[in-house]
Amino acid sequence: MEKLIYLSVFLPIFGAPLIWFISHYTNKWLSWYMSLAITGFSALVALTTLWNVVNGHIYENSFTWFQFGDVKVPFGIYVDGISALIYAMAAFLGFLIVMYSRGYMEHDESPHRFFMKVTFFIGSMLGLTVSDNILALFIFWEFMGLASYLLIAYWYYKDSAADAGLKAFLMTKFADGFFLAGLVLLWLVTGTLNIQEINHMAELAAIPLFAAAASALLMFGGAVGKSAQFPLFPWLLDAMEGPTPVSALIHAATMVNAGVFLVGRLFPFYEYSGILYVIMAIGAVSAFIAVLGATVHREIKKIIAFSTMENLGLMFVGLGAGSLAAGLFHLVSHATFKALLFLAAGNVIHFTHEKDAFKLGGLLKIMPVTAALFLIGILSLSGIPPFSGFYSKEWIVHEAKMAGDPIVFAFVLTAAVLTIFYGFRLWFRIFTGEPTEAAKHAREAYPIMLIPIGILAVLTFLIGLFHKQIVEIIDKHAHIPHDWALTILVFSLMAVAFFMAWLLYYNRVIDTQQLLRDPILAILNKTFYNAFFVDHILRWLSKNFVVEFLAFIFHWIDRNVYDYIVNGVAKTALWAWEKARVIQTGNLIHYLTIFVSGAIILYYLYLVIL
Amino acid sequence: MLLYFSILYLIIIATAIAAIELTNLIWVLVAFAVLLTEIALFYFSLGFPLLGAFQLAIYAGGVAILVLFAILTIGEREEEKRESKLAAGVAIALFITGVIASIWTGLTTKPYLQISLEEIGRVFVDKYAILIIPLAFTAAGIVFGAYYILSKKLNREE
Amino acid sequence: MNFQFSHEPMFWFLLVTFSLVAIGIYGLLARKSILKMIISVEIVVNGANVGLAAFATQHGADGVIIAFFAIALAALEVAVGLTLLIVLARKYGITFPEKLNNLKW
Repeated sequence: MEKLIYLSVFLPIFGAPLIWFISHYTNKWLSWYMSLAITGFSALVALTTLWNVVNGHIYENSFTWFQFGDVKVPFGIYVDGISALIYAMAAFLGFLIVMYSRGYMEHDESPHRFFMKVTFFIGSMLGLTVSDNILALFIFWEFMGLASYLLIAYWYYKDSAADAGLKAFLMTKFADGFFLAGLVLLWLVTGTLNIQEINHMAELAAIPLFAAAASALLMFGGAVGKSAQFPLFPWLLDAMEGPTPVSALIHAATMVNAGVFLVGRLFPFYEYSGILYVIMAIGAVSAFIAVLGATVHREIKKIIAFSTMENLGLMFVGLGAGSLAAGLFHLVSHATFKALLFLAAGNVIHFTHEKDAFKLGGLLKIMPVTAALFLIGILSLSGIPPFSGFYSKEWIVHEAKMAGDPIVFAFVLTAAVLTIFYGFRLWFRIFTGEPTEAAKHAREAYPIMLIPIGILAVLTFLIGLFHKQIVEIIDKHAHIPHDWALTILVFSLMAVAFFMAWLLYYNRVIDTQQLLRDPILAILNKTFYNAFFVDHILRWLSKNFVVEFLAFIFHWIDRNVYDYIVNGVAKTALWAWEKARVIQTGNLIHYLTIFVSGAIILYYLYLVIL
Repeated sequence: MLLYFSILYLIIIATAIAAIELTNLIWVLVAFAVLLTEIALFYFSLGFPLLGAFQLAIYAGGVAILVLFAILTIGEREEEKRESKLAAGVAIALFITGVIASIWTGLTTKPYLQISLEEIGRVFVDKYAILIIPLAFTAAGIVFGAYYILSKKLNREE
Repeated sequence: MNFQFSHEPMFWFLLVTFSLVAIGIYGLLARKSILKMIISVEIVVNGANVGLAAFATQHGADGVIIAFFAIALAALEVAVGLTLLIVLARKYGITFPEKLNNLKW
């Protein structure tokens, strides 16, 4: 079984170039079948692994990858409950998304390029989930950064897509610098990178507290970049330039979950290091910014992207409040309904060619199945029982309340309540009202696109149904608390939010454009729309510090130091040539004389030295 | 034996200097041929008759005749001498260095080995037979190169 | 009278070797004529061969075999040298080595 797990990781990674190569020279759509087969195999292995792990197995295998001197760099897998759950989820969602892509990419020129990258992406995430040491995890983490760059910039001929890819790459790489620093620091302090050993040492309090806190904070910096938390989230919004299945992949199955997974996997270490409060605060701030952004945006995918950021923030709040199970259970449940939402939104975008939700309407009659599935996603996102979102989200709100920080609780509550507002705002704008020009030309999606979404809808229901068992996989001692007072409070606030959304966007009692005439509301709208101008601040900082200041210094050093050295070498060589060329007389006799004299002198030197 | 060696040595030195110093090329060739023959005599006296025979056949025979043909081709000419104190200095320094080196290394002479032809053949086959292959190719390359240069020259003259 | 060397000191033969090498080198450096230079090279090679043969009496047959090789290669070298002489002497005269100075800067 260990061998199959290795295979499920490396088959997608090394098979990806092969997919491109074979499909390029035969039939380009062959790549879809190959990708489907590979990811299907991985999903099968992952689900079997999950089943066995639930029944009490733990898969462990490790070997020395390479060695220099006494330093051994290990490589291996360790699959326990947490790992197996995310592993199975990533593999299965990846498989469904690959299946869906057949419909979405139907008009694409180079599907083999797409499926190569997607397969590589899924393989990297699977490797990340099963790695038993942080170095291997970091390598797969970087693989995923590369794959996300390639996929976001998939339509490379569009400037906006290329820029978005570059932005995602630079921001996550900037964060990865912190991760690497934390990793090296941890290795210097503990002498090991094995996750289990580090967790064990943390439980025994064998790591110096200051070093543990510093390295935990640095590694969390990497997670902030990868999971798009405040302040390194703007790349996630620009990443919507990629194809919609890619967005589903990034938001649900792979990329952004990696940061949460890292903290979850090292949870005993993080608990020991004492920085959980920082994680909780950043999660709460991100969730707050994101939920406000989602209420004012107009593009379908950007709203869902903000919603992802909000939910990731909630996961970090759950982890930061000290509950591993709350954070990771929300990760699983969010992944399911977010994949569902993105794929359903992909249907809408693919058949209407319109990204702006406010230019759509009345699709309920044209795409009824998509509308129903989209509604299930929205309900799960908003936290309506019996779907999975209800259990995970209520739990996190409960944990935030128990953490005892009123500001964090207020932020989390705002995020939890406003979710239903922007969710139904989106749904009402797309599916109700009079059909617009773009909507009239649409049709219902193909079965190949609807089947994966249907499976996801069933899955989000099943996760809600079997929530106790899933929580048990993550943490045997955790159980979902029942806080009826909090539930009633949240539901009454949510009812108000839903009613407002119904009034504004279903009945359309007021034109929302009129509200923007009010200066205060306009300013608020602009602030929320730009996510509190974090992107602008980052741009300003990078322009003024990196470009204007550092680049100026480097330019000066380059011109006056390095160029001087290089030119000096050339000038010295010229001077030496001018002086030394005189001995090149071209006369054979001179050369012979010097040669024989040299031989004699060498002999005497030999005598003198020995 | 000292007498015999001294006579041989004097003849060798004299003919070598004559080969370098004489201006008439025919006399140079005569001195050179005598030098090579005397060296063959050395080999016979050291107990290497085959080497001596080689020396006579290849050097005193082949090379001397080749040089003779060359002289006949380009014409027998008197060449002006060039006195070079630097060259003389280098040569004398080399000689002194050689003598010093011979003494410095503390050379002792053991009784001479009696090396028979069979011994030479055995050692040759054991150790050096493989060298014949690159040597043969080198020889072929050299001969072909010489022929190529000559034939190109002749073609151009036509 | 027996003309076979049997126990004479090695120094004698080395004296022959170095005398011939020194004379050869002098000829190589001091003569302009290509024919004299070829003859000088041959003198140097012969001097070395005498040394090799003399040492063969002390250390075994290897010296003699190397002397065989040296003779063979020297003969080839003469062949090429004389070819060059015949080809180039028409154009430059027999003292061409000092006229071929286009390796100069």
